[in-house]
Amino acid sequence: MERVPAIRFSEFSEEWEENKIGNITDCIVPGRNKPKLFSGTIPWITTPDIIGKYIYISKINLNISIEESKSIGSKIVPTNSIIMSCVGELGLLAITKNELIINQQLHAFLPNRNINVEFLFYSLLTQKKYMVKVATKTTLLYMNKNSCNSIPIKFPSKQEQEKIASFLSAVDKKIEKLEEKIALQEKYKKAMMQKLFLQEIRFKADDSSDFPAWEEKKLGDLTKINQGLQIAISERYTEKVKDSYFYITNEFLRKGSSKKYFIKEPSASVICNEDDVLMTRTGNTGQVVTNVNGAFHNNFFRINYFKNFDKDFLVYFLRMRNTQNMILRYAGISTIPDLNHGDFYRLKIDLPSLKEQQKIANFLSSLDKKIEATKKQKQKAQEFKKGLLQQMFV
Amino acid sequence: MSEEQKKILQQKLWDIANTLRGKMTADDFRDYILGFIFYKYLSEKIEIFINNKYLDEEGYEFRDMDISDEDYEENLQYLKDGTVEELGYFLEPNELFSNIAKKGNNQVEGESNFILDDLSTILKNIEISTMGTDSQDDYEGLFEELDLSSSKLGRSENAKNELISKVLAHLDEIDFRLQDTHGDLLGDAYEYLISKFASGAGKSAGEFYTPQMVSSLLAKLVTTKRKEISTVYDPTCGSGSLLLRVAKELPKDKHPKFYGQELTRTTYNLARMNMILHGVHYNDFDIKNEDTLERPQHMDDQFEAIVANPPFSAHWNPSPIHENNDRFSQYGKLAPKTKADFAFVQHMIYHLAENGTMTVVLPHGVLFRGAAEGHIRKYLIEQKNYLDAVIGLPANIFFGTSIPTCILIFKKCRENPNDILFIDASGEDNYEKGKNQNNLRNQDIEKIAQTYKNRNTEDKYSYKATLDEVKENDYNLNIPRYVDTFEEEEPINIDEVADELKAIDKEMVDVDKEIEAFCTELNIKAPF
Repeated sequence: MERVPAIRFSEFSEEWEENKIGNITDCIVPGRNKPKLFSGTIPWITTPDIIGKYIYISKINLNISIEESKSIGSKIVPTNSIIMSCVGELGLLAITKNELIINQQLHAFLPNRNINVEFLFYSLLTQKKYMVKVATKTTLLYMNKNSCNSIPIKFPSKQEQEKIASFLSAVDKKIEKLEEKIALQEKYKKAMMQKLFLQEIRFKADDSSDFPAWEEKKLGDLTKINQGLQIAISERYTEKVKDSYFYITNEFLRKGSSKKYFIKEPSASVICNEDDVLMTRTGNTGQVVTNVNGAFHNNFFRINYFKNFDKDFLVYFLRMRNTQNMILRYAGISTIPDLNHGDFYRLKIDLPSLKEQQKIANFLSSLDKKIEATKKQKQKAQEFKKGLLQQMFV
Repeated sequence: MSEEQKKILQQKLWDIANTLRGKMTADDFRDYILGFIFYKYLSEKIEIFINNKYLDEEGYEFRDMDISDEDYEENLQYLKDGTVEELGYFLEPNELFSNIAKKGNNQVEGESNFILDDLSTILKNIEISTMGTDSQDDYEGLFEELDLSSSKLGRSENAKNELISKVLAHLDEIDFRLQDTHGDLLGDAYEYLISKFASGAGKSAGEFYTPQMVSSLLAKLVTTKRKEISTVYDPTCGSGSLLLRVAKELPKDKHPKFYGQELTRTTYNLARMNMILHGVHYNDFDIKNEDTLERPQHMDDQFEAIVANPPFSAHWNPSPIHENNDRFSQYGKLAPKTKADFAFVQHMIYHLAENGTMTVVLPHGVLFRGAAEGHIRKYLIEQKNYLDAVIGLPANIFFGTSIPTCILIFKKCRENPNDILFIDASGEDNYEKGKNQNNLRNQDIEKIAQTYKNRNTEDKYSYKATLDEVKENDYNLNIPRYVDTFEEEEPINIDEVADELKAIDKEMVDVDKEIEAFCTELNIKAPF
């Protein structure tokens, strides 16, 4: 059995030890009962509270009292322990930064003197496979106390543990900073959209002359919309077959959705390509889709825009908060929102000259590209961390 | 009358209703307990009336009248003539509630405690006493739901007798205070019971009871401009609480006449009892038991105030016969088969006096659904200009349904013919979240009423839309079109964000250096 990791700080060379986590930590299993009274000073932690690497009190909304914790048979989890989910999605982890009490879906490890808590945290991240293996499988995966405590941990000297942990922490910090950066960049773009569409900031023409004044229009003056096509699920294909078109449905917009549909022989009026702009009219009204090839569902309509419209400008306009609000007001908020043609045509727009539209759209697109780049960087940083977890542990 | 007394009485009555029913469902027991309370009321009312009017001076009471006296029959007939004229019904002394309650509980010497037969006879006699008089319609079949032979009451006759006697005994101990109150102590308690039954009865509950907060709001709205109303009408009156609620908004001495129609027999009986319990004279109410859309009972009448909470999107029969009916013919289209909402509106409009006001609660769909409903909506606004205001209510305020609802207010002669007032009272600040149901608080009702009265416009709450605006929206009345409740985007300071972004980049330089140092030690490439 291997006893040394692939990547290692050069000052260390001795073999790693292996033990069950139950032998190198104490554990706290939650009490059997649920608290009845939520008033007190000790935070009551459940799985959804595990968001980042640490559990911070400020994010917690439920508290219970010491008396209540005794009556439900729960011990207080001290600072610098690890809490871990052991029901459903296994192995969600966080380090405690305050005393707290956990609910029944969680398990707490209190590392002994020889174990660095941050090292243990990263080490446990590498053990998800094992957890699923030992869990009982009913409707939800479940690890009992023994399973939790049986997780094998391989570990070097405390010194090496600390060094590995601080490296990974630095990488985590980088990822965190990248996330902050993405949020700020998005905020910046939103603000720019606001300022540009409200004409608080104006571009000048290339010869630094003023662009002409914007014209007040309605979308009905500038676009024509046509409805999509409803095809029964039974008549759809789930993979691309010869002469079939990708079927653009609400399902396609859903994040993380993997279902894809294809249909055959749609009429020409519902076939769209990258240059087309589609919008959902019912259900989640107002979602704008572009740069897609395929045939679109009846929940969408295609916005055929006239020549004096720049496509990207139109898309940014439709996605802007003010426009979205108007769309939702027209679509209505009760039952299923539905935007009809007349109401779409009624949407007001202040329209710049085509040149100015392009400038605005180009600027916003470059901001989008920048955000995409940061997102990509974050994704790569996460991959880098994953690689380190694979190779710096045994 | 203090609030305290009122609460005590309501609690006592509800306790009886709740504890004595044994294995019976609350629904089944409802008609018994309400019926007996009504019987006790009639009993006490007649005693007070006769004692005060005919017997007071002699210190002799109605209940002391002795059947063995030789002039008993003659005296009785004399009393009866006067009483039926005045109260509308008659009871003999030995038919009084407390007598039969005592007998049932073995407190009358030498008599059996089996009272079921007596009781049925008495209840029948009450109805018979009204026959051939003006009050006949108001009492006919009033006790028919009170089936003393029902097996639900018990397995044996004795078991039934025991349960009924127990209920009567408990009721007998309660002082209804008919003498010393000017208010509606008992009437309110009766309504309280009806509402308690309604809130416990799940799906069917909405049929006979409009939540008090809604009826109170409708009543306030319909009386906004006028405190003198001679007639009030509810075409789907249920237990009649909405009609009575309108009277509460008017000065005490200006009681209107009440008109109503109700489809369900049981509920119709409740409505009549409710009226009588509230001291409404039999000449002052006219409630009919029939299908309002199919067989309207007041076709010749117009009313100054009309209120209604019709069944939401009920099915009806839009047969061509209706196309020629005066209520529907002018619109050119009938409400769809599965959505009678506009049929009720048309019916109400037909009955609305030129100087009248009508308020009606309807599901949200009436604001925006197309086809025939869109056509009727357009006609009412464009051709008639009857629609005065649209009020969106919070979701989940009715028993047994959570759908969003709205109130429409119509007038034939509008004071503000150029605009329609929209109020969006569905926002979180405008109601109280309850466990099963949301609640309009007094302050919420008051705010709606005041906004309507003054036709105020308030950001995110109310808006006066011109008729042109409504037309521009194709007569779609969906409230968000007119009252914008969407939060405006916060203005963002772009210079600040730009600085923050730069700062992050700087911080990252440090992190990158740290990572780089580790990587060098590990002899791997630094990623950043």
